[in-house]
Amino acid sequence: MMMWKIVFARIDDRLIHGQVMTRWMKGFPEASIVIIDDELAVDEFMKNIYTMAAPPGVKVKVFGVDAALKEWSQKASVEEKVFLLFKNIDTCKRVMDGGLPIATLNIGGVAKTPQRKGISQSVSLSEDEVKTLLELKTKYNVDVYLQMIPDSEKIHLTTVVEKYFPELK
Amino acid sequence: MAISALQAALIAAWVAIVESRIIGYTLSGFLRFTAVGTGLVVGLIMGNVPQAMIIAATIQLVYMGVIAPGGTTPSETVVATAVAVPVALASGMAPEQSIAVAVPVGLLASYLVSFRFFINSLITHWVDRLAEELNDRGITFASIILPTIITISLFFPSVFVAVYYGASLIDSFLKAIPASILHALTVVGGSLPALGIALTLAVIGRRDLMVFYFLAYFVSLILKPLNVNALVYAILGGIAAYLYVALYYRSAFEENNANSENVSSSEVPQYEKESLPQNELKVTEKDLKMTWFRWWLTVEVPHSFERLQALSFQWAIMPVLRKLYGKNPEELKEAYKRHLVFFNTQGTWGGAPILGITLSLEEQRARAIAKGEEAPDPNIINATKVGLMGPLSGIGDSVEWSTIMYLLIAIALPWAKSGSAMGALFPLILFPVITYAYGYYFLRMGYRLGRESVSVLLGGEKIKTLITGLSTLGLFMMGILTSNYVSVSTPLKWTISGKVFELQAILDKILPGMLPLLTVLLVYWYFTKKGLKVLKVLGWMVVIFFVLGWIGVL
Repeated sequence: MMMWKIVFARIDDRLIHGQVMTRWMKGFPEASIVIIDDELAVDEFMKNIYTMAAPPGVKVKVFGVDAALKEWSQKASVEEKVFLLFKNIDTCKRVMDGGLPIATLNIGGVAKTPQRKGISQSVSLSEDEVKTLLELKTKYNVDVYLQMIPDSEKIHLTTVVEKYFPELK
Repeated sequence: MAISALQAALIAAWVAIVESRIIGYTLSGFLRFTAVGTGLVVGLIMGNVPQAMIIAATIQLVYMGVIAPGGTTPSETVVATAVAVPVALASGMAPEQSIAVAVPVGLLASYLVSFRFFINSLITHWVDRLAEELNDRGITFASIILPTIITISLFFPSVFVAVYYGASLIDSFLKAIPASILHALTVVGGSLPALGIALTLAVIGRRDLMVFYFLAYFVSLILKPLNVNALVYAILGGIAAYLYVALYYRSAFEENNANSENVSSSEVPQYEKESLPQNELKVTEKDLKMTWFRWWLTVEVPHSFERLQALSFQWAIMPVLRKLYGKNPEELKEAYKRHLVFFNTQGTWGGAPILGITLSLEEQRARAIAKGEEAPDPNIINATKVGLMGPLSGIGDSVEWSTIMYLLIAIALPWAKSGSAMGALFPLILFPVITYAYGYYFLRMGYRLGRESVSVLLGGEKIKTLITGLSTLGLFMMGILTSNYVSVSTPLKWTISGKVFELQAILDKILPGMLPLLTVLLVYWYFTKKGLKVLKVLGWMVVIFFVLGWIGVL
């Protein structure tokens, strides 16, 4: 058992992929990847794929929301650096409501659907999703920003609201 | 030497075709991300291959490790090279000074690439309507031909203007600026390869293997006076990699043998397709070959912010879908539409097996429908694609673009540096051929084994060993490049009571080549601590080395 120290948290519907593996992960070479997703946690095949896809030496763990909250609250003396990944904003909210503290939240990849407005190259958001993010921001003081890779432009949630969802101000 | 309008037009046409990506996934990717291929072409057009290769090699070193996760690069190497090489040739600039042209041009061009993605987004809804009408020709035009034309018309004029007017502009600029500034530019150009090399080290990302980087660095320092051929270094690195893998991984092999045997020999054959009688609802070997070619050729052509590679995926399997569902227009329409939703992965490691798996699932479905049996849910097809595209692209970006491509470049760079066309031809031919071949193998595997193919692809010890071997060789070659091509040295000297102390000579006595190695390690350290902020580091390095060069410290 090790205590989690969250070094990075990201929402990305593709979870581990090129941007995460060849760019973001390189800034946290000691961290383990923790994916929190209820669906994935019960899909043995996909869980296995994610574990195998990680670069040699990087641990990948997949938890459902409840299991993650249990795991996180374990008291232990050893600290484990954790690179957190969520498939969607909803799961992230549930985990935070359950008490997991996240200080900064990167929104990296949310694919376009008819309900979502295209905001950056890789992120589209619906009004409900922006509402959820705003709630997280006020409730837990999370710094929420959109950024695909470390070299791309960083867009803060306040800018998103001002430019794309002025009615939510 | 002046640049004629014809020469400028030929160079612009070359860039426009590469940027349209219509010449194939791993060929256009290679030419976009790297400098040597374009260096050779520009050299041929300008009638000076040796000098063009030398300049391109210098630019290449700055852009080692550049890849495009998410579609855009921090800097468009092909445009940077296509503008900087002719301009440097025409104005007689030193290769290191050509970096001063390449860097800003590459940055500007990456905006043009983003703009292209935006324009491509506008096409997607039209393709949706064409799919509804089952208009195959229309889809080919909208998904493939139109984006090609759009990109060519975006890039041709801008590159033409930059090349044609750039040379005289830079020429008069060079005459006007003082020698101290020219020297500072040379210092910047000499130091920036440290960025490319550090980026490659970070992207290969195997701190456990860094010892091979240091080994190569010092081996190459020792061998420098012997003027060793490029291949000799590659062979030495290959031997080192083999020894490491053989000694370290062989033992891991034997321990795990029981497990991997299970996967490869007992489980897998169950998924082999029973040999069915040839009928029209069968995906043939020919279909697989054609699908792979259509995909490889066009993966990145209709790439857009909204759907990414969905349009090329649908276009690639369109003929097979028509064959499978041809008698059932409603099903065919649904099939066209379900493959037009968001899809994005690495083309070979992700695209190929996923295409194979998709064809196999679609075949099962079409057969079930034809026999009036309960057909597999189409949602499973989409869920499989979406689930696999992420993890497979991670592996593809790391192995194919970051490791194999830059490994081939690193092996060929010394040839390029000495002005030989081999420096371009070697990776330019090998990389597309190798990737095309194993991509087709992956596609067949996906078709034959279904989604289990992915476990075989990712989980096999052979693949892990191969990746470790390639990473070892990659780090080794980076060590060779550091000692040969990163130039950071100081002209500082003091006279103390009649005796001259040269700082560089003192440093060389302590550890030869200390400054280049330190520069690379500092950048590498920054990347692993602060993340891969390439543009930020590029900006700071330009400023710091310019100032140090200008005031005469370097």
